[in-house]
Amino acid sequence: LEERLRVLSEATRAFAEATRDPQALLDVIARRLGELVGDLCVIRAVTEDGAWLESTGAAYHRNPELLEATRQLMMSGRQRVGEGISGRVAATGQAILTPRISPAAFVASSEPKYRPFLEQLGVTSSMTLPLLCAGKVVGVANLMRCGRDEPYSSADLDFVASLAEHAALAIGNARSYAAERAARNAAEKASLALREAEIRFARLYESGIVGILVAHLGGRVVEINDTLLGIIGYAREEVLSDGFAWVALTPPEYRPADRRTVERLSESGVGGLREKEYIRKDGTRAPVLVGSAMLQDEGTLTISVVLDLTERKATLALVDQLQRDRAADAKFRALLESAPDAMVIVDAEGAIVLTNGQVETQFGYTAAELTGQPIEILIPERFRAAHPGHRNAYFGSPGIRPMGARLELYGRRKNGSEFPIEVSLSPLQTEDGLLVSSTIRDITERKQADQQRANLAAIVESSDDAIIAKTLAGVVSSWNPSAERLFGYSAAEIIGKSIALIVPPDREAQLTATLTQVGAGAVQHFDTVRRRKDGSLVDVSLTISPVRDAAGHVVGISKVARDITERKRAERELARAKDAAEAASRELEAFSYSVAHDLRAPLRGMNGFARLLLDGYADKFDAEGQDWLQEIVFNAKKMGGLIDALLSLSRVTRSELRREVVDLSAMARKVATDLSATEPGRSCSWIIQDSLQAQLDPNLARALLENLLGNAWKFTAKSPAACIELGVDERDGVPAFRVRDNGAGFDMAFASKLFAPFQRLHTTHEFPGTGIGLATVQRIVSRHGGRVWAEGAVNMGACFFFSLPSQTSGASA
Amino acid sequence: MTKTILLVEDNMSDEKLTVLAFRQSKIENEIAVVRDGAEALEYLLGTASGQVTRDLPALVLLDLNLPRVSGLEVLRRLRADERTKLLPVVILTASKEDEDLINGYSLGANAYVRKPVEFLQFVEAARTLGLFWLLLNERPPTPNS
Repeated sequence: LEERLRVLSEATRAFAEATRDPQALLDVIARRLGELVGDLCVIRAVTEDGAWLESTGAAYHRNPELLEATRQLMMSGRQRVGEGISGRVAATGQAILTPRISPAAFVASSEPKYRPFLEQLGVTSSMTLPLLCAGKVVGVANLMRCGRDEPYSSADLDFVASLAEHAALAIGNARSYAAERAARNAAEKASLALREAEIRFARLYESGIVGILVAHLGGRVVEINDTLLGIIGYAREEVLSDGFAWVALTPPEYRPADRRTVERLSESGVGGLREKEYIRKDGTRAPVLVGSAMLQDEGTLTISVVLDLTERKATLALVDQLQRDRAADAKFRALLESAPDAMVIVDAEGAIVLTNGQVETQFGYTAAELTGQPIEILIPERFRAAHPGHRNAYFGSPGIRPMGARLELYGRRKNGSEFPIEVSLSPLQTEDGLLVSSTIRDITERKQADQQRANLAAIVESSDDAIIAKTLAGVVSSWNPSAERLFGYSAAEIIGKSIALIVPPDREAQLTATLTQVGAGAVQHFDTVRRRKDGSLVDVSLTISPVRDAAGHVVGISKVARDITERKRAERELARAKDAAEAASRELEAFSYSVAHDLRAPLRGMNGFARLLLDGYADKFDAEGQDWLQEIVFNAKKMGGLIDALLSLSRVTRSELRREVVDLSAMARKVATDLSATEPGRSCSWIIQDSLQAQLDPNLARALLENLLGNAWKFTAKSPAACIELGVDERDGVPAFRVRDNGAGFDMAFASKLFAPFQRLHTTHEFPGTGIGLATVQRIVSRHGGRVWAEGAVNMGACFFFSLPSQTSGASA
Repeated sequence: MTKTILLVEDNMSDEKLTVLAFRQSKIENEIAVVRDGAEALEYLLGTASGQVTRDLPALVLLDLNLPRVSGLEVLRRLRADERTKLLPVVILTASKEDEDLINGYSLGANAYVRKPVEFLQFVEAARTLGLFWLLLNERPPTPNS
């Protein structure tokens, strides 16, 4: 008992010290109870909300192993109030004493997870007490007697209960202390936070970055910082004075939005951000961004943050301007590049500022090579010295104008070559001062075209033909000197007038038709008659052609008129000559016809009656008289032959030529057969080459062969081994047909007389003939455009050749 | 139907020679002679007013070169007339022109004989003509018979 009292007094003392360390107090109590009451003591606190037994607490057993096991068990999990013995005690606040416990039954009744431990522990008696503080269970103490049969007594219970009061008080005190300290800490923290917020706000307030305004919803200003005063340009006294109307700072156009913001503020406490303007004291406007919020949940105080946007707006405007400038620059560039001509921009000093791509193409310099160079780099050396003078003169009085009017201007390429150019200048007023933009056009092609035009114009001017241009409606637009000479109108008189002026009235329909046809694109060429200014008519040959534009549309008419008076006269003379020739030919035909009919009739009479005398009256004539009658008969007959030969010769000349391919070989054989038949007693060998062909009139070809072969036949009559041959040679590159015989031949001295009519180299008595045959041969050959000749010698035979124009004769292969 | 030969010939010498040539060829048919084309037409077709009174000849020897109406015209008219379109007509002329030959045959001449200068040839021609046209040739039936 003494020991217990001593423990109590110790505990009381310890409690006083344990206020700051409740765990240490609980450890002391657990140890003392374990030592004095024995054997195991476990103390656990109940959570503030009274729902759980905490897993921490204090425990004691003199066996360190069991103590450790106990702690492990405690820490394995907190225990719900109301469950188990400890839970029940915590729930009810009533201690439970179980003096005697069968250790085996105790193990069996406990939860499985505790069983091994409890077996080892060997509990024989137990008591469980609530730790009560201010009527509230703040913890539970368990005491168990282990391994000895010494049940707890009520005295034990009382002792433990008295100690438990101390423990409960200690827990309660410790809790109160902790709560108080936590509250103090929180307060300290809160006051610190407030102070920091104040400091932050003050920094913001004084930072000069944002304007800050505290004002009533109605507009009365309570507080305003220097920044905002700076934005609006008022002094604080003015703003805070009673008569100051804050609303008046807002321009009327922003007031509806302000009113909506006030509504939102009243409804939700936050007004949101909005851009607006304030009217400064000096009347200018200050662009601002404003955000407002109600300062308190109740009341009308608002706080607004105002950002000055002046600089930002200026920056934006600048950016915008820059973008516009860049776009303008790009546009200018594009314009420059899209120009069909080279463009060079120079400054007042003549330095090249800008060039476009055409410059590169035309001059061969890149833009980089030219920029900064004097413009004279693009000018031929011989003009360079004078150029700065011209340039300065232009800068002195700039205006849009062509450069060097009436002068031939030349550009100089990088490679030194020159080309004709046309330049126009225009001043360009820029921020960098006056620039001059020169547009340079390469006029090489135009020059060439001009030259060509000049050449053509010269040709037109000097042409012997009248060359006239007119519109599709026939209005004269160009009239050359030859037209003046031909028609008598000067260019000045007729240009602008209708071409009908030179058209005789009876040909006006022809004029209309021609204009229509040429207008449709057809070239007209015809001979006609035109009227001179003096009314006389002139024969002209006209070529009227459409004039087309680049797209191929007929836009005008060109007319070339040639004076064909001479030609017409010549034609008329020719026609007269032809008529005369035809008349002569008709006369010749009539003559031939009369020769055939009328000249033969008397011959027939002479021959017939002489023959009748010889037949019926022979006895009345002596031998000489009969011989003379024979002469009459013979001569009449001979004259008949001559007439027939003449007729055949004239027929050769008159008949129409009808060319076709003639088989001369076949034709010659036929003639040979006919000739042989006339004198069956004669022997003659005919050698006729095969496949001789020529383009000839078949009738004349037959006459030709009859004459040539007939001649040969005639002149070989006295040859014992007559041989007549038809073949082809080549003379001067063309085939020459030949008819060769081995007959009487002729003296080459008389060769020229062979082909003349009525020329004979033999007497009729030697070889009969009319002297017409070879003349006929020559006419036939010459009518076909060919040539005939002969070779021969007296008694050595003759050879007659005839050749025809190439492609018309030959031996087929 | 007679065996008369009608000779249309303007040249008196030729007329005599022709008649003599026929006689020498022993052709004894009666030979009627007219001097030009108009007479020939009148002889064969009658006048415009009156009818033909005499019979058609067995053969007509027609010269081409005739006064008033040409031989070819006579032939054309004869061939156009139903009565004489089949009448044997031999052209007997000095012309050897192709044109005359072609025209003569085109208009329906039965033969074309050129008068030769040599009388003996003429006699031979007359004999042949007479033989052929008067003896050998079968005449077409005449419309009158």
